[in-house]
Amino acid sequence: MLRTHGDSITWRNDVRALPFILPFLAVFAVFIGFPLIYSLWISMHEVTIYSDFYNIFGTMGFVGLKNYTTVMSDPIFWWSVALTMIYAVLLIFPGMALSLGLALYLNKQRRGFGILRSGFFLPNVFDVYVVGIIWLLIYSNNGMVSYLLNALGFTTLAKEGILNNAWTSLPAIALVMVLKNAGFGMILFLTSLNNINESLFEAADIDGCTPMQKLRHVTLPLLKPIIFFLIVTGFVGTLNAFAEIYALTNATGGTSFNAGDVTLQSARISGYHLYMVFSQSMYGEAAAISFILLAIALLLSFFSYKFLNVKDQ
Amino acid sequence: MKRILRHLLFSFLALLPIHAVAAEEEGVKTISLWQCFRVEETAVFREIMDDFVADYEKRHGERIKVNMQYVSFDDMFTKLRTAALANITPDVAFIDSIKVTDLAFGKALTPLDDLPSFKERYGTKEKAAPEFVAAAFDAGLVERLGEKKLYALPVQTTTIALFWNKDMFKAKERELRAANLDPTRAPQDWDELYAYGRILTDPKQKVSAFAFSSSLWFTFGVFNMYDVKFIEYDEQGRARPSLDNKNGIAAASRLQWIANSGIEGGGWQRGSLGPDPMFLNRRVAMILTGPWNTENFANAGLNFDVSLVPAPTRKEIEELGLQPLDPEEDPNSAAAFSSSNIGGQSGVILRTCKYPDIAFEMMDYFTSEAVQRRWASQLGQSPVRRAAWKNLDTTKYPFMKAFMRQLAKSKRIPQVPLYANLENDVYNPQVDLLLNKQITPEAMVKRMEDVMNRVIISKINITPDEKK
Repeated sequence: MLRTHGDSITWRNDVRALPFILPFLAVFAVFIGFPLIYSLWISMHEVTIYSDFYNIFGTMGFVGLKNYTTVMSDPIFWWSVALTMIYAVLLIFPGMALSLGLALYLNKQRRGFGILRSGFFLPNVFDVYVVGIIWLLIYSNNGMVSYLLNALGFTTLAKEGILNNAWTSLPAIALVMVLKNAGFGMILFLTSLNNINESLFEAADIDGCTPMQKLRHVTLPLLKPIIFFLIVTGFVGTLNAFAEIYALTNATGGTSFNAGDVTLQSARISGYHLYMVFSQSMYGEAAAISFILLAIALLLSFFSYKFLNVKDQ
Repeated sequence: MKRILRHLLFSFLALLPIHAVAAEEEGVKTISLWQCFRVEETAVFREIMDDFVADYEKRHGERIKVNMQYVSFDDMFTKLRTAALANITPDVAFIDSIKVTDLAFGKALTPLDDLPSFKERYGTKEKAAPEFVAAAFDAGLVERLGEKKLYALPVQTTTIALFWNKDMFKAKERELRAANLDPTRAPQDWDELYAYGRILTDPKQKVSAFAFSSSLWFTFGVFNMYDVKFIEYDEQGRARPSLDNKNGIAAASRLQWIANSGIEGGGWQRGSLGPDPMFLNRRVAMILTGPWNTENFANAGLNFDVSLVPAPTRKEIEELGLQPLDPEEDPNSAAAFSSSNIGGQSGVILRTCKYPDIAFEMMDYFTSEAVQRRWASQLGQSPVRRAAWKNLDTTKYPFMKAFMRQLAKSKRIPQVPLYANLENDVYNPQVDLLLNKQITPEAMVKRMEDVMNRVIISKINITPDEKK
């Protein structure tokens, strides 16, 4: 136990605590602190296609904020950010709704529910690429979805394939990920639901609450920390999302469409865009994109925190 | 326990230098090689390397060793780039030919035509060129800062050709003959493809006549046969795009026509299964693909044959003044104007190689006529050296001749660094719009040049100071 003078921890105690946190600080400095600062340094330098492969970082030229201005003035980057936000909305909220629905349904001790819980969690274990390939077959213009679309009269969409249509490709990818990740959210919600004090529900029953009122006024407020967690990790996940786009668009970033004089791609979200820039050895520009995305992620997390008022919980 | 651990640690540390000495045996010159051959290829390659070592030691009287390491084809470039950063690149690498330009621009390669052993063997690169499959040899030539050097030798070459399902043709024999079309051969130009296609396409049975992949590597051939350059360099090494011309528009028009002719089964569409599974499942009668599929298709019981990629029509040849691409074909035949894109692996010597002349001799031995004959007869792959084509026994591999015929008129990949950019930023998005009829061929080539200028050309044409 730390010795304190009044409520404040003294400088002396801080020093005494230092050796205990030093191992963590060392690991943090080597694996997080240094790479972060080094990335910042790289983001202000430039590699050319003539740069010596054996000394790329040594021959990088200082360009100041040029990489940042290049990225900020690139319409394709902003399109990728906008698309990422759309993808986040398509992924996070339906995903949470499905996870919560499954958790509420399976939060009972009934025969077979254990198997169901494992079954719904199972897709979460599979590699995204494997899941992507399976859904590629389902979505293909000879696949099950096209067959259904045909039967429903959407013959044009069925013929071109749902992933080949600029309007439907991103929602189709989001659906795959919602179904894949629902099991993970379900487990988190189940854990939280089990931690809610039963007496609160009993009190609500005595007050004559309907099941819907209990959900709205008791369950959901107490699940706010998990909802906040899923929103923040969801945003970070969508900003980094890559494998599902790679797998489901045959590594193309989706079908193209005209936007004035610019050609945009229907699934080129920021993670995929970053990969494309990085794979071209444009390390400086890629690092600049990373920092801009980090700023966006922090902003979104802050607003989610404020909006959900998690602190009060 | 502590003592045991201490002993173990000291023993390990003491063994390290011994291991290092063992790795570089006394008086043995070692060549490290990263290769990406498949298992059955590696077995043959290992035997060939053993023979090379014996041959070299006999001729030069010094001991050498070849240390081989497998690296996957797709990862080779990334691993080389990472290894270069740590200065641990191998002496030789067999890489995707597309990547030679990037490595040469990044000063990672030894120019082969500067090596004494190369000069002794061939004199100049111009004298070496006719000995190899032209397009495969050209893939090793890179113009950097106005100087053209040979940075690679072809070690394995491949291309695409037209696969056609003989049973599906036979099933429509009566209709084909009624339309004056021979059901025992494949179409030879685009007009014929359409004529055959109209008969072979059967929407009720969900069968299409043809399917193709619209990705850059698979459609280069169409641009090649219309003599589109993609990129050109002046004497100072300054690059400029070369697409927005009548040839570029003709090639783009042809691609748009193929996709929308009503005989194509949607193989090019994003999210489709692609042409290969469609052909395998008898959903399409013809596709453009490479020799790597012959075994799969044969094992699936398909009765198919391989022919040349359909050529431009006679009208197009005359209007555009196209020249025959293969002097061995009748210049009045469509076959002389068919083309495709070269693929495969090139052997490069990394600049940190201690014994570049031995490394070159190793690659030259592997590409020699006798070894290439052996390679072809054991693995059914087209030899990279033209001399090995003569009197080659292809009875075991019935499709090899067709691929060799196609290779003779194939062209090199345009010399573009940042190939991934060319494919993903410049080409694929615009071709998507073109095939979906959202832009005209004229607009597509113009837009492709604009994006190419922004994404690639601007990075080649930087100031001399920046190039340092």
